[in-house]
Amino acid sequence: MTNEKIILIVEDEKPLMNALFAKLTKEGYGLLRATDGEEGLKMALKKKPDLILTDIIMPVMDGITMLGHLREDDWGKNVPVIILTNLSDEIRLKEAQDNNVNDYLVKSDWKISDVAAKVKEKIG
Amino acid sequence: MKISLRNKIIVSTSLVILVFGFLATISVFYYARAELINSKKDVLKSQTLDLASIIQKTLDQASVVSASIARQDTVITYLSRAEPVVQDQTMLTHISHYDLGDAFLAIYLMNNDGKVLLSTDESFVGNNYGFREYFKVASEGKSYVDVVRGVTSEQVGYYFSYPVVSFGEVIGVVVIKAKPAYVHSDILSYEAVGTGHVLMVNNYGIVLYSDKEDLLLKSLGQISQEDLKEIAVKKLFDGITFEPMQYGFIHESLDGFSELETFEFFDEEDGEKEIITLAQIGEYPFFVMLEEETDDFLGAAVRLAYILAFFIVLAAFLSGFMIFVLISRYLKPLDKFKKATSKIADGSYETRLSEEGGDEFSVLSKSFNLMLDKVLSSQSEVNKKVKQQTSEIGRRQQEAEDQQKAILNILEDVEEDKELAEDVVNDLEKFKLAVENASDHIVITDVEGNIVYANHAVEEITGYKQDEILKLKAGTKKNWGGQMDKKFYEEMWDTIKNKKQIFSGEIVNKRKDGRKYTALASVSPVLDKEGEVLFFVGIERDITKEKEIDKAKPEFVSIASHQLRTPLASINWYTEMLLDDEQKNLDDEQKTYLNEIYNGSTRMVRLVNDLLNVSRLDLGRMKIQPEKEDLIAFIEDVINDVTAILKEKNGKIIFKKPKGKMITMVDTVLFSQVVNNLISNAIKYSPKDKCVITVSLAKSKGGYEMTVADKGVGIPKHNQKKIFNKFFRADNAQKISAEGTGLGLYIAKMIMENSGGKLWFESRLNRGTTFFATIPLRGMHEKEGEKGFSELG
Repeated sequence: MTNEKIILIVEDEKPLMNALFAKLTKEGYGLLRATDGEEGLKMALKKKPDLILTDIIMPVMDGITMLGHLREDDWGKNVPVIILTNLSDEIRLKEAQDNNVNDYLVKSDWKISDVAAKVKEKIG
Repeated sequence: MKISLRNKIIVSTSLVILVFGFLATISVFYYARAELINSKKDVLKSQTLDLASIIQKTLDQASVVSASIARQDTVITYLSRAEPVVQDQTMLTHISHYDLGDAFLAIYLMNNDGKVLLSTDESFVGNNYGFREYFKVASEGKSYVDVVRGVTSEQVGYYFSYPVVSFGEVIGVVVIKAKPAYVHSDILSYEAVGTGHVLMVNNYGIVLYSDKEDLLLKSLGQISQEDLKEIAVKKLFDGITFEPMQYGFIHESLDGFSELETFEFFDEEDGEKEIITLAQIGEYPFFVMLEEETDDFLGAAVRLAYILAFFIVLAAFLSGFMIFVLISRYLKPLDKFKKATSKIADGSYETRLSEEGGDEFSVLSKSFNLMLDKVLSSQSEVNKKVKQQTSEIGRRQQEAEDQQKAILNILEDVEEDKELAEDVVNDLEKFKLAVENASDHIVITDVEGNIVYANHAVEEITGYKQDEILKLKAGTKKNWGGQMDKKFYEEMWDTIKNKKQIFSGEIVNKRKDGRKYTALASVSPVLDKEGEVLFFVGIERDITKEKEIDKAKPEFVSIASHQLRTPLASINWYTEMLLDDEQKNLDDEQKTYLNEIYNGSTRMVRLVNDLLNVSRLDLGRMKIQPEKEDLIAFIEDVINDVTAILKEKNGKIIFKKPKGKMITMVDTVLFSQVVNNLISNAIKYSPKDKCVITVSLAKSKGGYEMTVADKGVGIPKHNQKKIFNKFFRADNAQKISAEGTGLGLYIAKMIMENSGGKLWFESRLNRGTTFFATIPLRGMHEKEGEKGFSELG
C-alpha cells in the first residue's frame, strides 16, 4: 500500500465511477474524478496523473475529443490512457489508436479485477 | 374479212395491255397476299407481346401485393406469436385492405405448417394446405405464382404466395387467390382490337382462358406422361382429364420456349390456313396465344386484285379510244387524197388536180401530186408515226400503272399508320388503366421527355397535380427533378435515347413542398417497329423511409448495445467486488445467490455481444480481414483456451494434425470464433467422462478442411434442418444447458459462408456429431466493412 501513483477516472456513469473508485482505492492508488471530458481535460492538465481511465460517450465533451486536446499538450502527449467504454466498433478503435491510446477495453466484457490488473500492468 | 389498219392497231394494243395487265394483276395479288400475311404476322406478334406484357403487369401487381403483406411488421409479429389468434379481427381488417377492388377471392396467412390462420374467405380458416405447391415453394423462401383448381372451391384460381420471413427463417406464408377474371379481364379488354382468337395456356399446355368456352382446360396437344404425373403430384387440377386439341406442334414448342414464336397452320376441320403467335408472359409459367384465320384478312388482297383488274381493263379501253382518236386525226387528210387517187385510178385523169394558179390549192395539188408519187413512202411515214404513237401509249400506260401502284402503296401505308395509331391509343388506354392506381410513380413522356401521362401516385409522391405537369419536361427543376448532378442526367438520356436501353438507378428528387426524397427509378424507351423511340416510360418508387430505416438500424444496434452494456457492467463489477471481498462475511447462501446473479449477468453480456455480431452479419457490415496464419498453431491455441471446460468433463481432445505448417489467409478473430464455438459445443454436449473430441485438419483440392467430431448426444433428426437458424437450440441441447443463445452456430455459418468457405455437419442421436468447416485454397475472402467483431465475453 505504498503506491502513490495517481489515476484520473473520467466517467459519467456514477455506479461505474464508484465501482472503479472503490476497487482502485483498495489497490492503493490515488484517485481523481471527472464526470465529463472537459472537466477531465482541465483536471489532467492541472494535476498531471500517472494514468487516465476514460469513457467515450459523455456529456459536454466526449472522451475522444478530450484525448485529442490532451495529446496536443507536451505533458499530455505521453500520459498512458486506457479507454473503458461500451462501444466496440472499428471506427472508435481507430480514432483511439490515432490518439495513442494504450488500451481499449469494453466494460461489460471485462471483470473489474482484470481492469485493475491492466492498470497495474501499465503503471505498476 | 378485211380489218382496217386502225382496228388492227386498236385491237392488238388493247390485247397486249390486257394480257400484261392480267399477268401484273396475278403477280400483284400473290405479292400482296404474301405481304399481308407477313404484316399480319408482325401485327399479331406485337399484339401478343403487348398482351403478354399487360398480363405480366397484372400478375406482377398481385405478386407485389403478396410480398408487401409478407413484409409488414404486423404480419411478421402476428406469425411470430407462439399461438396467433385465429381470424384475429385487427389483422383481418389490415390484410383485407390489400384486396385491390375485390379483385382477389381471398388473402390468407398460413403458419409454417401450412395451416390457414387468417383468411378474408372464412371457409379456408383452419384448413391445412401444406400439400399445395404454393405453400411448399414459399416455405422454401421463394415467391410463387400458378393456376390451381381449388380443393374447397372447385374453381380455377390464380395463386400468388410469398414467404413471411423473420430473422432469416420462414415463419409463414401469405397467399393471394385471385379470380381468373382478375387476369383474364386484361385479355377481354384487349380482344376488342383483333378479329382473331385468344388463348392463355400454362406450361403444361393446358388452356386457362379461351374466348371459345369449350376449349377451357383442354390441352394444346397430348400431355406427356411425365407432365401428367407432375400435375397430379402438384395437385394442380384434381379430377380433370385434358382432351388434346390439334395443336400438338405448339405444345411441343413449350419446352425450351423462346420469348415469342409464330406458326402457320392448316386447319383441316374448316380448311382454313391460320397464323398463330405465342408469347410467354414474363417469366411466369403462362403463355398467351393469338390465332387468326388468313381468310379474314386476305380479302384485302382479293379486293386489291379486283381494283387492279378494273383499272387495267379501263386502261386498255382508254388506250384503244386514244389510238382511235389519234389515228383518225392523221388518217383523215390521207383519206381525202386517197379518194382523189382512186378517182385518178378510175381514169378520171381530166379531172386531174390542176397545179395552176399558184394559189395555195395549187401548192396543195402539187404537193398532192408529189405525194401521189410517194404514197407508199407516205404510208410508211404514217406507219412509223403510228408506231411511235403506240409506244408512246405504251409508255403512258406504264406511267399510269406506276402511278396506280404508288397510290396503292400510299393507301396501304395510310391504312397501316392508321392501325398503328389506333394500336398506340388503345395500348395507352389499357396501360393507363393498369397503372393509374399503382403505388409507384409512373410517368409517360414523348421523345423529348415532355410528360404526356402521369398516374395518381405521381401526385401522392411529388405533390404535383397531373394537369400542372402535363407537357412539362419530366424530372426537371420545373417539377420534382434537377436534384442530381448533370452527369447523372446526361448518362440517363444517353442510355434511354441513344442506346435505347433501360436506365435504372437511385435518384434524389424534390417534392412540391420542398422536401427531398429518394426513389428507385427506372426509365425505359418504348420503340416502334423500326426501333425508333415512341415514348419513354418512367417508374419511380419512393424509398425514402426504407433508406432512413437502413441508416437507423446500425445506429440503433450500437446505441442499444451501449445502453445495455452499461448497467450490465455495473451489475458485474459490484457482484464481483462483493464476492471478492472477504471482509463482507457473506454466508454460503448469499454467495450462491451472488454467483447466480453474476452468471446471469455474464450470460446477458454474451447475448448482447452475440446480438451485436448477428446484426452486423445480417447487415453485411462484418469486416473480414484475413492475414497469414499457420492453421495448425492456430487450432492448437484454441484448444488451449478450452482446457478449463474440458477439465470439468474429464475430457480430452485428439488433434490429428498434418506434418509441418499449413499457412493460409484467415481472419483470426472470426475464425477463432468458429473453431472455439465448434470445439466448445463438442465438449458441452458430450457426457462427463466420455468426452473425447477429435479435431482434424487436411488440405485438398477444394481447400482446407477442419473437422470437429464428438461422441456426444448428437442432434435429433427433426432438429437438424434448423440447427443453423438464428436462436434455434436443439431439444436435447436445451435440456443439457439452459444457457446458450442459439446464435453460435448461426454466427459460425455466416462467418464461413461470407468468407467463401462452408460449414456443415453429420450427426446421429446419442452417437455424436461431426462438424466440417472448409476454407478456400487461397484463404478466407477479404471483405470491406465498418465494424469489427465483439468477442464473446
